[in-house]
Amino acid sequence: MADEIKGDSFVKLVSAEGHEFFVTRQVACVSGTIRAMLEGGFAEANEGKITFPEIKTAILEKTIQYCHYKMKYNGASVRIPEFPIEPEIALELLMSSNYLDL
Amino acid sequence: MDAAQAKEIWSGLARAIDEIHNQDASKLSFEELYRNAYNLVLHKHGEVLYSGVKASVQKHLSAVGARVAQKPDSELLAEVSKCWCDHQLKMVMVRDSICMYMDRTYVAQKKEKPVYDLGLQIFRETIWEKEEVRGRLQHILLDNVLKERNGQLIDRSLMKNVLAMLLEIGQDGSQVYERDFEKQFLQSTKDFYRSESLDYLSRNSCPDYINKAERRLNEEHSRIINYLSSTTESKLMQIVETELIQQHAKTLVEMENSGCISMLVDDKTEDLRNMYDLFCRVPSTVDVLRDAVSSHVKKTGKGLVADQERVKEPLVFVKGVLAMRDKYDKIIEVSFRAEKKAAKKLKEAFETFINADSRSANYLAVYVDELMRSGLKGVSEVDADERLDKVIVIFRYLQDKDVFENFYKTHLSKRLLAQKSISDECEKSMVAKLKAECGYQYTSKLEGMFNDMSISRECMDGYKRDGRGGSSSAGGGSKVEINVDVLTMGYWPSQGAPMCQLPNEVLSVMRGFENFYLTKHTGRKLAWQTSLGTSEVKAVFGDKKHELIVTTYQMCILMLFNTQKTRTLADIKLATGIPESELKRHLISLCTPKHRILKKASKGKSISADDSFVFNSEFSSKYKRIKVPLWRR
Repeated sequence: MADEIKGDSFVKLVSAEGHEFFVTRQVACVSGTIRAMLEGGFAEANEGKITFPEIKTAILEKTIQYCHYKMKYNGASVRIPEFPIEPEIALELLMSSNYLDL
Repeated sequence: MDAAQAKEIWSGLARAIDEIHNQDASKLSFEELYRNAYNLVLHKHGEVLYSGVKASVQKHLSAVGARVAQKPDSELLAEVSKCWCDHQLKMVMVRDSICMYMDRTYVAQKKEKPVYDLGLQIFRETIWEKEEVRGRLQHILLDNVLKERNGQLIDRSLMKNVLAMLLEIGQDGSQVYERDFEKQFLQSTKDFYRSESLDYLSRNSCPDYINKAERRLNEEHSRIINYLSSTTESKLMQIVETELIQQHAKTLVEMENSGCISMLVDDKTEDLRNMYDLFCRVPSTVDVLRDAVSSHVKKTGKGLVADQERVKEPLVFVKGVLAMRDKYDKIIEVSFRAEKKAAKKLKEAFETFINADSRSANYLAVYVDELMRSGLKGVSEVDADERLDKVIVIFRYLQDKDVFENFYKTHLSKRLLAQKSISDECEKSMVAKLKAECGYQYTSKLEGMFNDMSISRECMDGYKRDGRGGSSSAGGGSKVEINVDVLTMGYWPSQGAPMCQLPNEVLSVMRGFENFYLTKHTGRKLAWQTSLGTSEVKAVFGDKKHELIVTTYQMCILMLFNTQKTRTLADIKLATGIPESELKRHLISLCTPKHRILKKASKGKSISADDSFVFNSEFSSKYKRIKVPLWRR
């Protein structure tokens, strides 16, 4: 169990609609909240699965995209492209990133 | 979200906190706890959450505190250590899951204590500051240190953990570690070492104490590394160093039979180095050590100078000083780790005792004289150079270099005029060394003396070629051959002695030379120094012929006996004009048992005012040429 969740192992993130996203641990841990969840001695750490009953699939997907984006460009010396955000999801995305400490 | 809903959410969270405290968190969903707490804070119920968490932690720690208070002394330290570990673990879980969002937003806005720090404060108030815990624990901590100092094994990891706890719960400004532990610890350390050092000192030798102190200091240092806070280091070491070193530095240095002096006398350089290393921890005490070495050197040196009054042997003095210097150089090098301050102190000590007595300069000059006359015979160039370098070493200590120069000049003049130097090379090299030390001015006269000698040789060659110097010269058929050294006045030590009355045979030859010289160098003035010359005299004792090598004065005296067998002292004085004290010295040298050329009327070694002398025709020797040594005063 402890061996599976280190390094490049995958974790499962589940949206309100029950959609499952498989994300590498490293990408997921861009979020401070998710990192704390995976490292604390709670159920999530054991299962490698986190359910977000209040985050919709579209928002969670966008959030995960942002995690990738941030990991790729954090500290990069190349010109950083803009991260596209559709106006209709902007508010919800803001809420979720506050929640996830992004 | 209304207050009722908020209360309901909180009671769920409170249950979760209980479960965390009961070590049963693995079934809980972090996300759920986080989401609920998040929603509470987001909907302006942060106050409910914060005070709820506070009350909950308080409740749990009170229970823990009650349990800890019940523990007997023997288990207390381990129990507190365990509680502390648990507390840290649980507070991290509570902080991360339930309180993470609150810490980030509510706490920051209201300027409250973050939850983890709040936990530390509650821990301090409910466990550490509990009457039944703090007093006992303080005592146990100090007792453990004492046990360890007395050689017992203690659980260092428990000590480390509990002391780290004190440090952490005191970080909100309450200074628990400093107030409740460090202060008492330092006081007990001071008491411990004060009594131990006195006790140890009274029963052991200085080197033993030094080793013990060094061990103690290392032990205390390992205590810092193993369980004390690094902030205690400087305070602790300062106390230990004061008690072990500073308080006793003087006693240690002056300790009879094993202190600094006996280390110096017995060449215990290692022991002395240990002492120096120890004292270096308290720089002011090193002065005590340096002073002790310095005063010992002065004392020994003074003894060496005083010794000369009995032995009258400059050689012993110079060799003694050189031996001392070698010895103390090594001590500075090894024991004082070539420290500059100590080297300076040593130099000053040497200067003090060498300059305290002007005889030192004379002894040194006599020593060089001895080297030049015989000491360097058969010695390789390198070795000779080394010996002369050592002379320079002592020379450097002399403050009044002119005094030495005067002595040196006197001896040099005697060597040059009597041709007693073994090697011209060595003479020149010595002068070169002096020049290197003191500059051109200092040796200009000495060099002038050498110059005079070589010019005189050329001059004599010219005089002899001129046909007037030989015994078969046409200028009067004189049987006397002379050899003149023309010395520049001012370069050479001035001779107060007036010219004595020379025999006519000699005088005529001298006039011949004067004419020769003054025609070559007009305007110069020649003054004859009869007190410095030597003569070879042919003498007949019964049927044996001998050649006597004597001083010019003695030659004058002996010549008198050509015309009269017996002469009184007054008679000789009148005829020769030699000052009385010199006359007696030259006369007595002719009356020694080995060279009894004249027989003295009175017995004993002295000459009385009405003494008389008679030529000893029975004198005999197995050598044809006899050198009559002059009595030294």
